[in-house]
Amino acid sequence: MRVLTAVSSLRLAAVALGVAVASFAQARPLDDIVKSGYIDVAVYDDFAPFSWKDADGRYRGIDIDIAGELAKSIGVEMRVMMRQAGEDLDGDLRANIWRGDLVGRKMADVMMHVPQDRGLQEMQPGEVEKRNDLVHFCCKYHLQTFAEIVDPDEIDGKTFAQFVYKKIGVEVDTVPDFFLTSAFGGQLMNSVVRSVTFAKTMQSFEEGKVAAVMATKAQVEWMARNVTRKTKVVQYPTPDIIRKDWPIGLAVRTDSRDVGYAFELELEKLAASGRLKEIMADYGVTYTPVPVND
Amino acid sequence: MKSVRHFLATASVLAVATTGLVAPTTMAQSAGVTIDDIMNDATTPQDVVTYGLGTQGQRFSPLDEVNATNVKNLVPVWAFSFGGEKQRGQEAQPLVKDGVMYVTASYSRIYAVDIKTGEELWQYDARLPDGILPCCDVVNRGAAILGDKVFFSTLDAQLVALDAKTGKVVWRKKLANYQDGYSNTAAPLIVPTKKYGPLILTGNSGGEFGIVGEVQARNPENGELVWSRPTIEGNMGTLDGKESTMTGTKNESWPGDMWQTGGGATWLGGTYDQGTGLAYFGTSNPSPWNSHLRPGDNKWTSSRIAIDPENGEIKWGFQTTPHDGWDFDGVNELISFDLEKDGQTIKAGATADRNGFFYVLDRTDGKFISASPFVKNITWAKGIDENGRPIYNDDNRPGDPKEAADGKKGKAVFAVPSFLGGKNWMPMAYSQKTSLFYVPSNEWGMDIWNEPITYKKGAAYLGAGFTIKPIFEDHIGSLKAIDPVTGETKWEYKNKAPLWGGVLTTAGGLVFTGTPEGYLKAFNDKTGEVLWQFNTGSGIVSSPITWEQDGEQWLAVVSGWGGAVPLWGGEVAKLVNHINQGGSVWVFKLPKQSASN
Repeated sequence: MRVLTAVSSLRLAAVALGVAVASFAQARPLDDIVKSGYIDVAVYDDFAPFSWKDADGRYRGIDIDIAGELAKSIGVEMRVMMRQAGEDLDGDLRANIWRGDLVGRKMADVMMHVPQDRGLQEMQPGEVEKRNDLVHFCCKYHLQTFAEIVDPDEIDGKTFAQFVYKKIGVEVDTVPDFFLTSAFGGQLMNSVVRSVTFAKTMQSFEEGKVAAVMATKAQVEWMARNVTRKTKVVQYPTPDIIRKDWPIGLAVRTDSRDVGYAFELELEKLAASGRLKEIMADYGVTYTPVPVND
Repeated sequence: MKSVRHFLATASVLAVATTGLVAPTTMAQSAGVTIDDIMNDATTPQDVVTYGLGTQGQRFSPLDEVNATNVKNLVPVWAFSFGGEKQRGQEAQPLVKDGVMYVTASYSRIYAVDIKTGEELWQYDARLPDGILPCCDVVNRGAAILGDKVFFSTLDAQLVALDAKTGKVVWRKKLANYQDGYSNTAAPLIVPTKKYGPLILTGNSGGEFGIVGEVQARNPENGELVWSRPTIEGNMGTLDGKESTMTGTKNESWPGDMWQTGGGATWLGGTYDQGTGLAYFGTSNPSPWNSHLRPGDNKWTSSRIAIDPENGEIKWGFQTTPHDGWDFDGVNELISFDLEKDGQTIKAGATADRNGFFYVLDRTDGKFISASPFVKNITWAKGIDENGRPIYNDDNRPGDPKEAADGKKGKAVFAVPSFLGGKNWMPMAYSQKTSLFYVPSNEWGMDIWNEPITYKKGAAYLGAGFTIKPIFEDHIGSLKAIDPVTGETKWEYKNKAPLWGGVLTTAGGLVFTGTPEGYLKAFNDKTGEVLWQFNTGSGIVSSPITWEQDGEQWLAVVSGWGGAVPLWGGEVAKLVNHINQGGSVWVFKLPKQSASN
């Protein structure tokens, strides 16, 4: 029996690798996706309110719902690929869209929640686009920015100066972490409480270990809905932050950009009909359209 | 074929089990590797039971049958393929015991091979989960062996103990959560203790995901944790399941709560010296990468630390790059050796750091003895002062990203060495015959700048940009013979592509190392003259071994191009992107009739 199991698992491993190798070389244009009846969508793992797996194993979040609408619009089934975030966007695009990763997992047809460079709208491509020339960036659906959630009973000032004396939580190794550590001549350095994940950052606020949290606006709005503490979402001046807001969109492979064109049209419809606003409101998030010139 | 072999191996084990009812205990003893075998490995060339040919890591063999005169006659005996659809980097050093070779391969695989025939005895493939995030290729650097078990770590941060005879799993323990970005690629280190008997020591690895470096010690019988020691000050260690002591003093060299996520991973594993009873581990660079955010020395990142295996306490630490700002990971191995200086014998340790300096330390207390540059044109420091601290070139620290204008690169500096280091993971060797170190180094620099336009998990992020560049037109790789007494380079061999493989030296007056171009090369240990070379068909990024079997000296090296170099682009990629992947072990010896030449 044992011998048989060993043999069959070896064969399975070989088959799995074979599939991975085959998919490696293939881009799927729109026609192939429609014909196959499904679309593979990459989303970030553990990334509420945009994409996560709930306790019952269901995929949830704004990106899941939007991807569902996009799949529906071309009449195919959405297949979700939850992927951990790598060290930066370039790594995620490489693994999920154009080259595949070191362990040969399948690539996706489309990746959600891809930040887009301002340069994309100018004559010259932006830095991110230049570095990822096998990726087609498109379909902006939200303008992201940073914000703070505070307990109004503890915090009532109008600037970050109040955090010389109060603790503020951040997820480690994010712009809020870098900003608060270095801003104002390092005066807040000892007030920053770093957590390894956003969920733990949220927990430290819930437990009263910090008086506030700085994160993306969508994240703090999601927190406001899910913590039992009294909350207020604010945006203090951030003089040193270079990139105050950035559009979120989709990425497809450059040789299947017709998928992007189809979804661009669909997203315009979803915005016009109010459906995008409605999806985000389901999670407590304020929809912010991307300005036309951005 | 593979399935047939598995079946045969299992069948023969069954046959032994049913017919040899009286034998099992004596069999287990005769097959077993004892802790004494491990401690004596450097002087018993009939086997190789440690990573480093001895836990001190000297990679020196007393064998001299193959020598400067007859090495030209070396021929391959057999080659063994790892198979599989995917290959990538092969960085393993094989182990040899009782006619069997244990060798690990990419994607967390391990093989037992009959040395006489080159035939496979068993193979174990770790079933890797979907979510692993190996940062720098899917390599494995080797196994450890004790009693009747073989141990190796896997890309999903587990430590696996296998039955050396059958390849069946005896136990498997999670070292860390792969979902948090941890993985493991180093060879485990087995050391003796009075209180617990032999312990198996492992480091940890995982990109810049907010981790803290740690060394763990486990019982090799069952994998249970005995102690753990974090490398960053302020964090608590454990002993016997309870909190033990804090590493260092909280906030002595780190601001705020950054010590909780400070980096300092011990991803290359460690060495051990029986004389001092200390285990030596290197620690990686601090996190976050931008040094302007973390004023202070940031201990113990980019350091060597000495740990007492009895309780996991840090006896001493030596920081090669305090307050690192160039990504000079400090994991490189510390090799114990006896330094003869001014008529005295000093218990010393040597390490060739990423930062381009070759350090000699007193291995009993970590006191600084000397440091000298082993690569050319170093820019980040003017030198090392009499206390072992770098004399920084402040102009060569990458600028504060706050000063970068919107949408543009921050100030770029050209720093030497590059972040891949004057020497990377590949182990050097120390010859007891010449008293020289043979250091596989690389001559390259990097443009490094702050990059405001980078994104991480959907949010704007302050990244760093790097472009690695060669310094010389004709070579990057440079194998150097370094005198630890004077710091002088006695000879240099230049190689076009960067060197990424370990070194072996022998009493036969030879130095062996492999190149990305595929050659295993033998050098004269005094002059650096190339005496022999053989092309293995793919790049070599692993560490060769030698041993004696049936009265003959054998050599082995693993071939298979990969590792971190091909993952980086730029001008360096042009030198190596034509090299094909592979995955095999090559074994060599002298033909009997010409052994006397």
